[in-house]
Amino acid sequence: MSLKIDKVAKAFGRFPALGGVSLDVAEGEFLALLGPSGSGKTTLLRILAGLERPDSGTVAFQGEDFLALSARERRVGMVFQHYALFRHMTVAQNIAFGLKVRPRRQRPSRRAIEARVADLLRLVQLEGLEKRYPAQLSGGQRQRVALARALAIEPRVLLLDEPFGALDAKVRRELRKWLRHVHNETGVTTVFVTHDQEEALDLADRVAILKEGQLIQTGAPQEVYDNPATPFVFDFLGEACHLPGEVKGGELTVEGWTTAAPAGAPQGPVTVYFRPHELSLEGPEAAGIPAAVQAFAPRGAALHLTCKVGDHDIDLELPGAVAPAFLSPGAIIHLVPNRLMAFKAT
Amino acid sequence: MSKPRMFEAPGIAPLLILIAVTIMAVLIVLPLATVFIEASRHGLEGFRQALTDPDAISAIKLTLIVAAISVPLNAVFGLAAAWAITRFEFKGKTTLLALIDLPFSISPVVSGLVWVLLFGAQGWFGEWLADHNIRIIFTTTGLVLATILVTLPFVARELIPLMQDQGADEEAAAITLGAGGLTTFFAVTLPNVKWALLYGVLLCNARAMGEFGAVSVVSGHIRGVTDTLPLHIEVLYNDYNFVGAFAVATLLAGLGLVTLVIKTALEVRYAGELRATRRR
Repeated sequence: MSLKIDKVAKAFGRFPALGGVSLDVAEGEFLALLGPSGSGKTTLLRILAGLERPDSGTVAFQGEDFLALSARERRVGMVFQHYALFRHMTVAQNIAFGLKVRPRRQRPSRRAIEARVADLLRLVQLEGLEKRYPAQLSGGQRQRVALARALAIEPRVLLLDEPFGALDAKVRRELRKWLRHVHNETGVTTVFVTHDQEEALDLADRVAILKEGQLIQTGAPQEVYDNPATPFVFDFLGEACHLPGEVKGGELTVEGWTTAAPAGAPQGPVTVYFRPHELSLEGPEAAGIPAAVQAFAPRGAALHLTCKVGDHDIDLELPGAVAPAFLSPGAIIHLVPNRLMAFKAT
Repeated sequence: MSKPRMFEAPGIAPLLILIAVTIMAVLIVLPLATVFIEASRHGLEGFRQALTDPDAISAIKLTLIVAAISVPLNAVFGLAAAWAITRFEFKGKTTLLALIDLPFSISPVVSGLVWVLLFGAQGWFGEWLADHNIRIIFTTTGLVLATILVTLPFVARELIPLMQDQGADEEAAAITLGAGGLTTFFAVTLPNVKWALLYGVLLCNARAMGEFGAVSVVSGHIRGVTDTLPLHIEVLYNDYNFVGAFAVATLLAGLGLVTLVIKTALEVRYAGELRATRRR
């Protein structure tokens, strides 16, 4: 284990930010800390960086007590949400900073520093911009400078706080691909914080989902997406439809439609969860959850459908823009979720 | 980018500009011009005489000494206070902020009087000081204390909003990159606030040299010994030496104008960098 976080807790005044989180990060792993705002993910990241001190718990890096080291001694590369570039320094000076502040004996020669800066500029694809000031760069470029600056010190762990939070959607996607590429290239253990599930699922080797200072679930992206441990995780990882149902023996009944209960479903009244794109539509005569069609329209490559199941409004987003013939406003159709989960009704 | 227009009202803008210019002319330009005109009534000779008078020279020296001591002290205090307030959470922070503002809200005369109450002959420590042969009131020390108290807020007040706006992330970044406390301060904190600091120091200096009320209380008006420039002007004026009073006033106003010119010149020269340090 590269990084071992054990029962770390932290409160700000009376507000508990982290309530005993334990988490291991493997050498070279790319881990996403995913959670809504206030879930404690940034606090955990700042504890790893040494910028906050936990009230209790331990953090070890390759067996060494990380909490005994100051932020300065940890050699952790941190990329801040708003980049925190030194505004009065050029791009090259920003990147070189971590090398120039080393004690004289460990400091590389001026030549070596220049070479390292040139290498990093190439890695982050910013050649030719070394003389610019941060204010003269776009958001995406600043982000890359911040990363190059963090990588310059050959960090033992790389920490990124909402790395794409302040960028527009297109730049985000490009940078995501690129960050993955940089990670593959450098192989440094990386922990990044995000509230964007798509980003976490797309980028990380493993996702750790936090809520209100508690670690809810960890696992590979597909694993947590397919098997959410709690209704919260199900809702947080994507669009979800909710319907009341009942489990009796091995059978689940939803609005008069009976099917085999999913594995691990509790007995009694439940709330059934499914994804609005993971189901098939059946005609008026078929079996399934009966739904009254209210409106439908193609939306890009998908078909958007609004219908009513009992008293519940359900919004569906079906792949393929062609509507089946039986679809008309007011018609009764049947929904058959391909995959559903049942959690105890609250 | 075009400026949004709130409403269309032809003639309003010129009217407002006219009012502003008139007020400025009557309240600022006219009195200042009077000072220069009155001072040169007897030609350059009168000017020269007033400024080479031993008492005047002593007043100039004293003013410069007082400013040279109190401005650096307040610059250091302002930096320390702004750093503490914007970078740390501690009990009594609001009280500290209020205390920094206090000299702005109380009369300078009171700021002078407190020192007399503390260190004057009848003051709390008066007897003890007299026993040890230490004199504070009616000396340069007293003048410096009074000036420091009056000019205390200038540097801190310039720095606090800027440092609050800039946040602590850059310093945190420097530390994670392996920089020590001093390196972080000199390589990151100070360069980011240097213009605000300079601006605060200039304002502080202008006020330190021009302070009258507080200094008047602790000075004792010993001619040629504890009279600063503003006090010397009053003395000359009360002696009906109008040319002299206005000549020295010209010098004092000139010092203020120089401050203003330096500040404006710096703003023009470093406009780009100023913008860069103010924005994220």
